[in-house]
Parts: sequence; C-alpha cells; structure tokens
Amino acid sequence: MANFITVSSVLKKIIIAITGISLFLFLIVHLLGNITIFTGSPPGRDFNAYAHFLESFGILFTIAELGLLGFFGLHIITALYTNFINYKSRESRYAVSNFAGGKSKKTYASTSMVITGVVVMAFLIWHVLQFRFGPYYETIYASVNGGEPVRDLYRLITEEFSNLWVVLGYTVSLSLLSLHLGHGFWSSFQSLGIYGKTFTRVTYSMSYLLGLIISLGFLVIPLYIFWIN
Amino acid sequence: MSDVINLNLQVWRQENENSDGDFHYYSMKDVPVDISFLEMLDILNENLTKSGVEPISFDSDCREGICGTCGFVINGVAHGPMARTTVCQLHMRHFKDGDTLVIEPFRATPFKIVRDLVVDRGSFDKIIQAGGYVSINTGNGPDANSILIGKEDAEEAFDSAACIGCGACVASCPNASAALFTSAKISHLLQLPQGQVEERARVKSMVDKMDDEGFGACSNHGECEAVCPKGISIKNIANMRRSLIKSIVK
Repeated sequence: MANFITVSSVLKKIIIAITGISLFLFLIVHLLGNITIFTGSPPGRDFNAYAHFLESFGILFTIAELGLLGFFGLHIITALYTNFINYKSRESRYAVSNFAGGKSKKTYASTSMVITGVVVMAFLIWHVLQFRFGPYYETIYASVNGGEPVRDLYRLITEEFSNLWVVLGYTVSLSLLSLHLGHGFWSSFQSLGIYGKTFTRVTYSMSYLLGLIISLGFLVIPLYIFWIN
Repeated sequence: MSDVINLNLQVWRQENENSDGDFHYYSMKDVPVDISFLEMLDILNENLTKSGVEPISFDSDCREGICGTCGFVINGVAHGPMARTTVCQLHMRHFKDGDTLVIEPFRATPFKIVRDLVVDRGSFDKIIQAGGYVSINTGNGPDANSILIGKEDAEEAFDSAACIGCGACVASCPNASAALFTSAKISHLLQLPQGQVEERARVKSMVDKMDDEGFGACSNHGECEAVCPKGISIKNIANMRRSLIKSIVK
C-alpha cells in the first residue's frame, strides 16, 4: 500500500468501513459470549469457564487480541486523520447549520461520529484496564480446567458493577456506542460501494435499531449485576 | 394568505476573498409571494442602489433551474427549504410573513468567496479536467446509434448526467466533500460503453484531484442528495467507490 497519508479519501473511508464492520462483528461475538454470565451454577461458572476456554488458546489468543488492537488502531487513526482533513476543508464555518430532511441521512449521530468514537475509545481503554488487566482473582470448579484454579472474572465484574459510578459510566458510554453503530453500520456498506435501492433502505432502517439492541445487550450486564447486589 | 409578506434578511457581505465578511441586516416590506428568491434580492438590490449602498452580489444565469449558476445557503440549507429546487426557482410563497432568513454563501475551503454570495467553483472544472470526459472522437449524431445501449443503462447514465454542477452538495456536506459531484461525473461515463474504456485511469485521477483541491471525505451523511436540485442519488458515490476498488484490485 502506498504511503498512508497519500491514500485517497475514498480508500481511507474503505479502510474505516472494513475495520468498522469487523469490529461490529467482534461486538456481536463479545455480546454472545456475555450470555454465559446468566447461566451456570454456581453463578459465574459458565462465564469463567468461557474466559478460560478463550485463554487456553495461548499464543493464538494473544494473536487475536493483537489483531483486534490493530483493527481498533487502524479504524481510529484513519478516522481521526480523515476528520482533520474534513475540518480543514471548511475553514469558515456556517453561522446557521440545519438538516435538509427528505432523503438526507444526516443525523446528530452521523455528525458526531468523531465525538462518540473518541468517547467509546476512552471507554474501551478503561474497560480493558478494568477487566483484562484488573485484579487477578482465582477460583476452582471441579468441572473446569480439571479442577485446577481459573481466573475468577465473575467476581471482578460483580465488584466493579456494584459501584454506581461504574454503572453510570457504562450507561453513558454504551448509549454513545449505540449512536456510533447506528450511523456506522449502514454507512460501512455505502463506503464499500455496496448500494442497492432495497438493500440500502433495509440496512439504513435497521442500523440505528441494531446499534440500540447491541448497546442494550451490553448494558443489561452492569444493570443486572448492580440490581442483584 | 396575503399576497405580500414582510421579511427580515441577514445577508453575508464580504468585500473579496481576503477580507473579513460579516452579516448585514435588511428588512423587506411587502414582498410579493409569487416572485422568486432571486427576484426578491433584485428588489432589495434596487432599493440598496437607490439609497447609495453597494448591491449584494450573487450569481445567476438562466433563472429556470437548469444551469447551475445560482446558489447560496438559506437558514442552513443549500438552495433553501424546497427539495429539488435551485434558489432561482424557489418562490417566496414558501416563506411566512415575519420570517428571518439567514443567507450565506456556499462555504468550503476550495470555494473561495469572490464577493458576498458569489463563490469561485473553479475547482469543479479542475476535477472535470482530470478525466471527466471521453478522449476519443465518438462521432456525429448517427454514430450514437451504432452502439446499442439498453434503456435502463441509458436512463441511469442520464440520471447521473443531470448534475448541473451548482456545488450545493459541497455546501451542504458537513465535511465539504465533493463526492456527489465527482461520482456523478464518473458514474455517468461509467455506464456507457464509450466511457468504460478509460474507467480505471479516470476514477483514480478524478478522485486524486478532488482530494488535491482540498475537499473533505464523504461520511455518508446523504445531505447532498437531499439538497441536490437534480436529486442526484448517493448511489453514484457507491459506484465511484466500486470503480476505485476495481481500479486497484485488477
């Protein structure tokens, strides 16, 4: 690939779209994995077993983590750089800016992608520090890891989500994520040149709903843990 | 509904490209509702001239919505509140008595303000010069029938070719992107056999030129399609992207 800076604006958006849709798929896998929080006995057994299962891939797991980091990095850097170019392309701002309505897909979500994106990025750093690199508790289940100790992530999430401020922080961040996904989902297809009269209408009308469903799906966990405690 | 309305205008006035502009306030009394927006400005300009004030500069030519010369932003929407309408075809009956209208030029770094509401859209010409044409002689009228083109392709190509190059897409885009204009030109030629020969070189060259001129990147806000007087679809932008991917992959 040519020098990153000189890659055309269209290609930059294609990079943002490919990484974006991949991260979207990651979120769905992450969300499905989270279901294990609600199953198993004693509470947390399935969740800790699932986490242990992922970690048991060893080097492959590390490669997957680094790959994910790379996708996030590429998505964020390309988007921030594009945003900088976009800002420069209108040096004198309008005194009044409005929505044309009709066929326009401009929304508060679409015009604040960089803001919601930066907040979600800050949230992700916090989230990873909180759990991936958080306190290491251990527990033992007879049926998991042959009775050897495994990481007790369930205990960590119950501790963290008992804190009202943490739950509020998650609520705000995940609400903004829903807006980010709302514009991002349909928009990534358009950025890849995938347009069809029906296809675009369907993906666009699904987009904000999908964003909301995914965010609510994630939000259920802190709210549920906070509630039962 | 009365036949005349009163308006408060807030118009951007700027001496030239390098000077600082600001808003000037004018109140208009008894504006007939059947005149166009530009005719309303003509009346204002006559009054300004009579009172020894420099009239407001704005572009216009055909005044029937087909040339793409006129255009400015009214209350934050390019070409004003009516869909698929240029300001010359926008009539005062769409405004209410007592309305305050903020009138600004099309703002984008590549569109330098010449004076007041007049902007230099020469960067559009440069994008066309970068490849928005067919290099070979395609012959005379009868030759057009020597290559048969399906009805659907012809219609699609015509829909793209309907772009009048007014610049409202750039003006309305939160990123000041020229993607709709550039893609309409690319897409128009892409859908006809005469244009397909140079497809790859054209798309690359025109996209690069669009970036060089200082336009932003398209973030799929779709505001351009909503303000476009000709209703050019963002489908063209998707076509341009597919074409660019093709030019890289193959």
